[in-house]
Amino acid sequence: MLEALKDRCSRLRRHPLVARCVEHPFWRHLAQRLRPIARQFDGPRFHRFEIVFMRVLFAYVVYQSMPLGDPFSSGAMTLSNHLAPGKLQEIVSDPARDNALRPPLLPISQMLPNSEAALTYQDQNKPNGIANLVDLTFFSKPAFINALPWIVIPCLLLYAAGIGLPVALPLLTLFSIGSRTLYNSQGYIHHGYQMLSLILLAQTIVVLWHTFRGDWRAAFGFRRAERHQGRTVWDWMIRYSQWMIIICYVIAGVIKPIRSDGEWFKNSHYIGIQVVKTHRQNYYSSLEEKWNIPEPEVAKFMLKDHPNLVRIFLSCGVLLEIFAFLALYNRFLSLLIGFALVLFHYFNDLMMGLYFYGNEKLDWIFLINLPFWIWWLFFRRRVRQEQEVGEVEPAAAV
Amino acid sequence: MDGLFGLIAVVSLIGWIATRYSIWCLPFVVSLAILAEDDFYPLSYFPMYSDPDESENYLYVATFDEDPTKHEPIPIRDLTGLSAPKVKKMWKSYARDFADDLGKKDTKLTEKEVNEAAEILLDEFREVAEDRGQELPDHLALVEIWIVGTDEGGWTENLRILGAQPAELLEPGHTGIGMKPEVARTD
Repeated sequence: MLEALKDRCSRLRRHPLVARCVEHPFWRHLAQRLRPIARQFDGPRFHRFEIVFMRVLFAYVVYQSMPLGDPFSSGAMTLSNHLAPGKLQEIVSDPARDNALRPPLLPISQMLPNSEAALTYQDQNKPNGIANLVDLTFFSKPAFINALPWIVIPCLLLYAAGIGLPVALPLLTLFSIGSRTLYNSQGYIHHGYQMLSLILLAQTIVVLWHTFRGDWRAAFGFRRAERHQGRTVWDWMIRYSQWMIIICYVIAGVIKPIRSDGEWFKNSHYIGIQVVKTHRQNYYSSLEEKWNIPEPEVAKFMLKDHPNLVRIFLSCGVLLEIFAFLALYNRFLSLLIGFALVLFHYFNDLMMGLYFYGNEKLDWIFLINLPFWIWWLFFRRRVRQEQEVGEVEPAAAV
Repeated sequence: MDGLFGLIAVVSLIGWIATRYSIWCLPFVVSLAILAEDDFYPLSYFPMYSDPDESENYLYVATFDEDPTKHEPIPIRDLTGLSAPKVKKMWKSYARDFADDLGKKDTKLTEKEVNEAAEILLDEFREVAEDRGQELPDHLALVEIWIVGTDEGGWTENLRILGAQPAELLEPGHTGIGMKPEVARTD
């Protein structure tokens, strides 16, 4: 189908009228200017060690997102209770100690090897996405819950090892999208895992594309990956994963002026009203006294004390989201904007109790990419001096 | 707007296929997600906080003796696993479907219809609690609070009973509209 579409495009381009327009000097000049920029956004070639780090860390985050249930959902606590009874429980139940590394890192409780709880939904009253076509309630059946870890964990091990991805990745994507779709088919939409599922989906498409149209042995990890259009299957997998992260931020940024008819910046101090709402919702969920605050200070600050300062500060956040795509221009911008996004999440958490820990983890893995910068700081001298950051000839990952 | 984003999606797809530059996936997926809104996981248009204005609402579930307007909130998450934000999202979804069945917009529902839709949702909460081995009180009320910003930089919180069980304890069409007693006004 793609071939047919491409063929039609090239025939259309040969049409005399279209050809005259396309070959106009203005377009040629513009294309000449834009082509190097577009090529730059295709990303650097990644080193083998970076790819391995990213695969292992991403597999860990995917594990945390899977609804494997007991004993995996409380695995860290069970294990720690064998080693040092009660110690870990003490840390995670004390907010100060749990957040000892935050910012910039995540709360300790979010870094533990715990999966999500098993799903218990017996119906999908408000079907979302593929739930309109398929009954996904099998994710809540005890037999499937028992079998799920036996499929997911081997797939994650294969993924981390870089072997058998054309089989492992589609399965992981199916489980991620299927389980979260069932979760979102109960009448409420949760926005915590879209980014992760999109990354899995993008990686699956890249790997299957290379399996069917490129070198299937390399895609399966049976031999060294060769370059296609200047990059290996691993380079494309990482680049499209980064694109999915960036796309989620750009959507969130672009939608604000659209939905508010351009009044977001003027009205942004009213987020203070949302802060009141969040406090109330947190209280009425479990009637925890710590949330029973008649006048939240942050809301007063935003609505009454400094509305203009708040407008500027929040608008900076939206601009960061809209222009997040610049992170993929080069590695330094990726680091800079990656950190800015982590801080953005931290302030959201601090001000509104609104957290997206899953997204923060993905920013750390795919944008900030600490292993590369550690290598760059300490080991880059071994590489030819004239090569720029990110232009180093990497070994193809296997 | 949908037409514009549809056009952007098509042009980006053609550009992506023709040039193979990965940057084309940006306008393509962004447009698709905006068109898909929140109906096709994993696509989402992330609508949270996208249209801030001077009013916002939240919901909670409460129990009462005889009069739903004199109620006590219950810790709904502990009993059903559903947090207050989920209660609100479910209400929006159930009210919209209820209104769709009547062939009208959810904002045009009469007070009596609002009561009926709320009762359906309260039944759903009972079922969810039962699946978790919990039981909700016999007398239940779904309460909505509207937070409204004032010109002085403060806010008021106004209460409204959307529905109650047993339904006969709520006067027909009565939603108990009034100021939330413990918050009154913050200027």
